[in-house]
Order: sequence, then C-alpha cells, then structure tokens
Amino acid sequence: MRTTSTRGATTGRVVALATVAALLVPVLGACGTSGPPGASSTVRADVPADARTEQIAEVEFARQCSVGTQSFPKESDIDADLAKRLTTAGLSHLEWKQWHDSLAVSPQLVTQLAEVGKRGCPKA
Amino acid sequence: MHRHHHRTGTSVAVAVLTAALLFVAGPAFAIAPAGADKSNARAVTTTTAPLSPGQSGWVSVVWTSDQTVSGWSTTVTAPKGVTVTYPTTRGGADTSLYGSDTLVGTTKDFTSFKLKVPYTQTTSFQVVLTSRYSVGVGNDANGNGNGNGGNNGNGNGNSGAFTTTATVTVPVQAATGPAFTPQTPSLSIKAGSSGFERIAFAGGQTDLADFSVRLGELPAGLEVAYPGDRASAGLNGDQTLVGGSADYVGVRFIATDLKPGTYTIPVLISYTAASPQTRTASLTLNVS
Repeated sequence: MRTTSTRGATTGRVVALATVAALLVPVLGACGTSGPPGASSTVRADVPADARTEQIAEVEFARQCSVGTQSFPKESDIDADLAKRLTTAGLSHLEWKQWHDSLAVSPQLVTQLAEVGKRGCPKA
Repeated sequence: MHRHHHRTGTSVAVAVLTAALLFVAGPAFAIAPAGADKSNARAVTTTTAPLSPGQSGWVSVVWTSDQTVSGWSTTVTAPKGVTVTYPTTRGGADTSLYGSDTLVGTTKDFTSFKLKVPYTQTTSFQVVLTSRYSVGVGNDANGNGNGNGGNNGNGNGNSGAFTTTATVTVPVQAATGPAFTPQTPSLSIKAGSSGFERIAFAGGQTDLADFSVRLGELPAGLEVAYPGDRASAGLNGDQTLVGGSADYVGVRFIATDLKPGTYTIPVLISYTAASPQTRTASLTLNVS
C-alpha cells in the first residue's frame, strides 16, 4: 500500500513535471523564433537624422501621398513603384529598408519624417 | 499519512507548475488586454483609387496611429461579386502594412489588397477593413513587402490586442480606351521555315477572360498551328488578359511552300468582357 501510494505520488510528480515540460517547450520555442542575438542586428537603433535620411523620408512621404489614389495591375508593381522612386532619388532599396526598420527605435528619424510631412504632398 | 504525503506531493507539483508558468510566460500569459486602446490607429484613406467594371487591381489604404502598434493584420470585406485577394507574401489570408507589420507612432504605412470588380458592378461600393494589432508587445515583423522590423513595444502601460475597422469607398468609373492593343503589327520569317512566333497584346483597362487568337485566311503555301494542336492560341501567362498588363500568344508558321513577299493576314481575337466579343486585327508577314 505504501509502495503503491509512493508510486502514485511519484507518478503525480512525473505527470506534473511532464506537464510543465510540455508547457515550457512551446513557450521557450516561441521565444526562440526571434533567433540568435545577432539576428536582429540589421535594425539600427538611434539612427541620427541627416541629409540622406531626409531624402529617404521625402521619398516615403511622397509615396504615402499617392499610393492611396493609385491602383496597380500586379502585386509586384507596388514594389516597382517604390524602386522607381528610389532610383530617381539616387537611393537604394537597402537604404530605404534600413531606414524603415530603424524608425521604430530612432526618434530622430520619426521627427524628421514628421517635418518632411509638414511641407505637404508634392504636386502631381 | 500516506494520503497526506500524496496530497503534499501533488500540491508541490501544482505549485511548481504554477510558478514555472508565471516565471516563463510572465505578462504574455495574461488573458485579457490591460485596458482601452490608446493607440488611435486609424485609416487615413477614405476613398481608394477608382476601378472600372471588369477591372482588377491592387489598391491601398493608408493608416496612421498615435502610438506604435505591431503585429498588424488586415482583412477586407467586400460586396458580393467583388473578389478580394491578399498578398502572396502573407500566405493569402490577410494583408499587413507594406514596410513591416509595425506601424510606428505618428508615421504612416499602407495595406494593399487586390479587388476584382465584376462587369456587373457599375456603381461605387464600400469595403470594410478590419485591422488587428498589438500595443506594447514585442513582435516579429512580417509585413507585406519588406518585413524585417520588429520592436519591443512602447512601454506605456497600454498593452494588449486590439481591432479597428474602416469603411472605405471604392469609386467605380466606366473604362476608357480600347479593350486591348495589338503589339505585333508585323513579323519576319524565312521562306521554307517552320517555327513559333509571338504575337503580343497589351491589355486595356479591364480584364478580358478566355482570350484566344487564330489567324484568318492564309496565303497559299502557308500553314499555321497552335500550341497543343488546338484550334486557336491562348495567352502564354493566363487565360485572362489582365488590364494594364501585356501577354502574348504563340503561333507556328509553317512556310514550307510560301514564296518570299509581304502578306497581310487577318488576326481573329476572341475574349469575354461583359459578354463574349470578337475583334479582327491584321498582321503583316514579311517573308524573305
């Protein structure tokens, strides 16, 4: 009886630990999806605003002005529209991407974008 | 004693389980949002680009918010007959923002989705966009076009998952211009040759379904064949000539007994717009 009872207690602990483990694995797994520390290093924090970022902000703001009134035959045409604007301004897609990704952690860029926006939408 | 020992073991196990869950899951284990949505996420666009009956196109709605929100997901409800398609980059079940799935506070970004307007829809209509997002929660950015952002929330005590909706008007205007434009007015081939040639078309404003081409009366000594030995040639990319896009058909010219010279050949084009249509163009064939 004692043995049985002890076995029951042990079984209870095993079940409990298994439950903990089962619950922990997906939680830790979810944390793990963010990847190794270096994986998010492409996002630059506190990027200072300068003439180059102002150029990018101008391109993005102008795009935001017109995109709501445009329709594109193909999905890829939306990317092509951005590419054309960037090329015209002498900017690369990588520059735009790094700028965009840095917005969330670079208050200066957000302020600069707001300043660019105060000038209003460019005339078509 | 034994039973007491058993209960103690179970209690300890439950306590360990609870402690472990609280330690590991932390705030993410919270069941409900902490409070009201203070982000003021909202649509800036009230009217999209106009579309025509029979047209399909990607339209966009611009959004802004007072605070940074993440995990953005938008679904669109359209009237019966209007088809909504989402970006392939998201798997096709929803759309997000272009730059990433994070909308940085006070900035703007847009959602894009494809609408296919039936020929029977001749008046403007409304679509309802339902956007879901999180406030104050870290994210793995996964936007429509270039998702690679990510943030750690704004730490303003306003956290949770929220939803906002926007009703946007889609103007419907009559299509203008030709239904399509032939892009291959002439072809040059060698006498005695046999090979496929491309005859291209540029779409007009609207989509033309079941687009097919066959050649009319042929000069003596010329035979033609169509892919798959069918009676006509279909488009290379799809059965539909999508408005604003270009495509081509392939026709095999068997000029085994054709003498050098210049020939004018009728090109018979069939398609379905609001109803089945047939048009005739011409092709100048230069044989050397």
